[in-house]
Amino acid sequence: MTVEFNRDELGSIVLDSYELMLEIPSPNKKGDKYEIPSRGKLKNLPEALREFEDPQSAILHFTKSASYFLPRSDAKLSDYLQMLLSKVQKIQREESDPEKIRERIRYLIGYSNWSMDAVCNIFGMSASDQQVRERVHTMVNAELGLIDREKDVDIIVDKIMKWKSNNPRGR
Amino acid sequence: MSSNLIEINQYAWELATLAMWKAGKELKAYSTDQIRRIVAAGNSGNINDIKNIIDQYSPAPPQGKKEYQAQGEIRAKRQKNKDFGNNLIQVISERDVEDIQRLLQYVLWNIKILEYAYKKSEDKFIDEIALELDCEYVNKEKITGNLKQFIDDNRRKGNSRDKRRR
Repeated sequence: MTVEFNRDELGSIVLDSYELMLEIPSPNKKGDKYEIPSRGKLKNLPEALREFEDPQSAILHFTKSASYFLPRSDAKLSDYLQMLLSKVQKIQREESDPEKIRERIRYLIGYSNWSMDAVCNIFGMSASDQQVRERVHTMVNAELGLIDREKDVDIIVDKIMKWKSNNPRGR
Repeated sequence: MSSNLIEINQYAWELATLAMWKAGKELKAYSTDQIRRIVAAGNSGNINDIKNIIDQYSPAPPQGKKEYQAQGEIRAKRQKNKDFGNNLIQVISERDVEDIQRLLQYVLWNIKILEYAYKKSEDKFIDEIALELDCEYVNKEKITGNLKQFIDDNRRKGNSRDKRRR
């Protein structure tokens, strides 16, 4: 079954996915690379959404398994979990079709995980913070331009730079 | 399936709240070992196996205490086990093995979710659990009501113990 999103829904998913990503503990620098602690757990999250064919059952199981497994793998993921739950609740309030709720959650996590990997690659490949900022800006601007949200680009880029510098108070 | 899983999960939350025990500053199951034994017995789907585990429960006194020094606690844990067990048997009677296994898995997960939320946020943990319950399509009033009652009862017990010490 194909679920389609309108521009507002897509915009909401993209912006929320960045908000969610910024609650992941900042990446650690190891040599030239930046690594997210517990990246494997985050990448495996969408699996729980596939456990049941029925969308409401899948959402229920996904929420519970995230709440059970995430803090057990890394206590620092508790802020991420709270943000994830509040985003799930927001989607449930905005949308009545369970199939569409499941798809919005799937894209929310998927985009958040992609962004996490993309910015970590940029961090590792860039020679300076200035270059990081420019490259992250290009990436975010390209995404947000497609959904007419250019006004949010600088705010998100600033937050990503603060996230990189491991400064939680700056969020 | 959704109404079935939602119903199973509702019971799993109610049962988890019944299993909670306040030990000092911690909120945890009255006996994680006992819950795990029940979960293991549930894999067969044989309700008599589960009943036997519940009936045979015999809590040990806490470390550093002799049995006669911990009689009140042992009695209270036996009662917890009885209440939890009776409710569990009522819920799982006439359910198929798959449902029983899922219910018991969720009871165990819910207990761990409650333990962690309390460890992180203490008495404010109910707000966090309420968010979780909303996301899981749970009718939350009964669950949050049980938890509030539980916390209030323990606070009262703690206050009366403090008064006696003074």
